[in-house]
Amino acid sequence: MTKTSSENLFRQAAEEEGGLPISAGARVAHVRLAIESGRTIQIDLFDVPEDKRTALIAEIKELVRRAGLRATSADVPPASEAAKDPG
Amino acid sequence: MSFPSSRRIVKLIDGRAPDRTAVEAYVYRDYPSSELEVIESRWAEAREQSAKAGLAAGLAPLEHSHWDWRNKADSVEAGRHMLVAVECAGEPQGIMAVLRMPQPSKLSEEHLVYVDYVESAPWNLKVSDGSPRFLGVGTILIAESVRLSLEMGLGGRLGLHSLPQAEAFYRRCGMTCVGQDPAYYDLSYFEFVGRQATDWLTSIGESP
Repeated sequence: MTKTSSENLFRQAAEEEGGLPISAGARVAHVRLAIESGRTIQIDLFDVPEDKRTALIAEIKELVRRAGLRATSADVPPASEAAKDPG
Repeated sequence: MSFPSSRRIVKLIDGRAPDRTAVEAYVYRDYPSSELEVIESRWAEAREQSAKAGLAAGLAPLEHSHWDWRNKADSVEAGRHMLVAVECAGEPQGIMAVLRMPQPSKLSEEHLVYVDYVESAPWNLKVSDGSPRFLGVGTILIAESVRLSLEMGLGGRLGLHSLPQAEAFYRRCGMTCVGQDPAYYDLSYFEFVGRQATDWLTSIGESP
């Protein structure tokens, strides 16, 4: 491919891009919305020493996982009750 | 103070020159995180101006444009992200944060380069007052991430979560839209799979 033809191909791609937004990755607004809707939590680890952060994050994840399991089992009636319900 | 690990000469199209000339630009890897605060404050001001101009011209405002540069700076310093920037006319025209650790593909058993964040300077967007200043910033940044993927032996595979208004750009690049990701703020997830990335590189005049 000659230099001119590759420059022309790039020019064509750049003209087609033509000022379209290219933004990828969550912005502050996405995080804020997720927190407000209760879908996510944000914890400031600034005051936690760096060497303790990984262990703390693992503990938080485990707590969230257990809470999720509890919520799921509360939604589903126990097997004995489900069996009593003919349908 | 850190310094870029590489600088490559590229071209952008001057959108305000009468004959739309190609101008010299530079793409940097390992762009210093210390520049993020400066970029965000300069771009925030320009975003506000272009939002006003865009509204006056009847254009839809860009949503969710503000980003948390402090988190990004910490992550760059911790070695999780690499910053890649395009500079032209003495200032950054676009910036991208790439995870250094390859991530699993959602479409195959293989790994890919994950682009965690991309943005073009507000004056390069159609919503700005007048013509975009420089054209091709997104093309250059995505091409650089494909090059990174090829250099890492990942075959050009790439993944990213696009903001709704940018989806047209990634479709135009030929990336596959996997769908909205409930695990990531419901943003649409795109991947370059198979030969898509190298075919796209060829189509923009770059040899893989």
